[in-house]
Amino acid sequence: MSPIRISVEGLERIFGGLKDHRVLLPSGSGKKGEYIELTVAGRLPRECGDHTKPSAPPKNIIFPANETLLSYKLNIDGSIEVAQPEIGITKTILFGTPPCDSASFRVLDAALTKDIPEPFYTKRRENFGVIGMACSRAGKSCFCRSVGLSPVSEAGADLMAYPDGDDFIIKNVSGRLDMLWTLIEKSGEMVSEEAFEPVRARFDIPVENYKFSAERLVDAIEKRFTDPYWTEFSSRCVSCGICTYLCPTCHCFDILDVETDERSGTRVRTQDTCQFPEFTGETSAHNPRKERYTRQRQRVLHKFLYFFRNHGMMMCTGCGRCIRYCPVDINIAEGVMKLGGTQ
Amino acid sequence: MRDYSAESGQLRAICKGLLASGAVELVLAWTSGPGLTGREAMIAKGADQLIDRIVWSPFCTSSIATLIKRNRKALEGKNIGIVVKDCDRQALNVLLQEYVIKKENVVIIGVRCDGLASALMFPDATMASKVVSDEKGVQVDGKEVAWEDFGFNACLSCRYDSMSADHVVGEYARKKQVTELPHLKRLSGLSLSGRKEHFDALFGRCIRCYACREVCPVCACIECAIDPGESSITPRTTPLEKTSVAGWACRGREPSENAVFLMTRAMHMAGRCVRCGWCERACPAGIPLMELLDIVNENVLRVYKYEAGKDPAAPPFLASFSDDDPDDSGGAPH
Repeated sequence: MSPIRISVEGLERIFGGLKDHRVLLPSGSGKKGEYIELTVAGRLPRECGDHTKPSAPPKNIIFPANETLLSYKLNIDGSIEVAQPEIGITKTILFGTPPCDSASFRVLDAALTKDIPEPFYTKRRENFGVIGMACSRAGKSCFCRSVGLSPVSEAGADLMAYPDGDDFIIKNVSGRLDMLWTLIEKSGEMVSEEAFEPVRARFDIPVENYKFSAERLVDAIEKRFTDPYWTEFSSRCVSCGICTYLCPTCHCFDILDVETDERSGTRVRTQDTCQFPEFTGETSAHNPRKERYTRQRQRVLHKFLYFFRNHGMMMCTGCGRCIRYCPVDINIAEGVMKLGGTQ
Repeated sequence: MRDYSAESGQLRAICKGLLASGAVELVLAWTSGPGLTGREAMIAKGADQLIDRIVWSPFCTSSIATLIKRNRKALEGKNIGIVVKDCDRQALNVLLQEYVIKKENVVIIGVRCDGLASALMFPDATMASKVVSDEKGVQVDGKEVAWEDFGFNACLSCRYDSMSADHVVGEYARKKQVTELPHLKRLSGLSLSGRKEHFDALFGRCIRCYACREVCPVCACIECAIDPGESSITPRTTPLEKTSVAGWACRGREPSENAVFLMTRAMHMAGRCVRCGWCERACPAGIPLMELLDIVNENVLRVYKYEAGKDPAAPPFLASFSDDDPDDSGGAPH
């Protein structure tokens, strides 16, 4: 399928005419940024890059930080009522994510929809499409090229948009958004591969920071489990949840019962993080990860070793949020380079 | 014009001297990383590589005082030298008041601070960049950014203009004259429902990472009421006792639970918050936490005439009572 050239206004009109879909866009950037719904007269972003990336990761759109799994009620006659909530499904299109954020859905899919599908995520995912955008500016904490991605990689995206002046050149990547693709084909015009290549090449920018080889890292890091460097790496760690909660790929959760009153309540799944000591607290009061360095080590090894062994991909997209927002300047890329990933 | 490479040099010499003479076992200071940001470190005698990297600049945005809180056990009974900027100096006093650390164990090395700056504004700078500052702002390799443009509320309304310490480095180059806190003035202009709307939006953004609590130099409770469990559960705790450990706010990211956490923290900071503003700088959701804290701070100051960390010999605010204390907070705040 050839790429299609469509004007920004043309795409805005298509989105405005989608009756049963909501379209989400990144709005604002950094700490003020979030994903908001496109209003009817809304404008689409014409570029994306590290400078437009919200601190909040897109994972929470289909994998909310708080999710009610069931509610229960103890009746006067002693019977118990358990009800499962309807999974609210709105067909959703996410537009304008940089390649690092698009790729995060590939990671979440591997973790949550494969062996034992997680019903809530899986159902939302079926009704969720990602239109990625080629990235025009790498930031100081970006390192996508070191984890096998790039400012033009299409992993995780269903359609990929390449901004070109007042137009987008859109490529159909997965074929999952065929309904939308038909509309785009109708109002746009085909672009030959020869005409598309220079536009693509414009976004194939270098990412100069933290060059390491992820493949080499896997073997090296496995042998460094007891390395003294882990204590140095995490010496400043304050054990907050920033690195994991802002990570677009971290997906650990906790399940707890929240009492509404003595006779009823809900069972809730909430986000959880390996950086909190209670994460591995056992009922016997034993905690295998009491020390801060063991918790930081778990984060790094889960991303670059365990997940790779289980799913054949890194659980890191190089978006750099954990580096940029860490209050004590802990740098995972710097860490893995010292642990053996240097090219 | 302040030249921070010269001031870092002075600081390095002082720390080196203290370690060499055996006056202290450890020095807690910032060291340079690959970028502009200073990184806290505990430096022992003989760690020459680290000593040579001791640094001080407006990019030392962390508080060394949190190192004391985080390493309470390791530091117990040890003589330490600690590098503090003005707000950390006040925080150290709070820790002294609350016996987190003992006065006879600390040698205080104060750095006079004009305000902090964000390294994000200088993407091309490295640890080797030349950092200077003046009345107007910070210059890195010749590129100047005004103090106001970093948006660090706590620094813009900082009132500390004197430093008492065993060793002092640097001179103030920026006048600190703040009579009214601008963010509180903004709040006082809002109606009750306007204020509710404002704070609901603020609480709704919280992702419950607890970074504000963890970076706070004086949030030094061994176990927090919000998520207890680490030390209150022992092998002898019965299942019944476990279920009754009160978690005051559910971990989930619900606006109401977020409000419980953020407001409980603000209230518990009464008479302890030294306005260093690290919580606000650390918050990844961009919540203006100083608004919440300053409402409490200003009331404590106005009604009880108490300033956190001013006098290390005074009893802690929340643990003291005087017959002259007013019965209530003296009318509607702001």
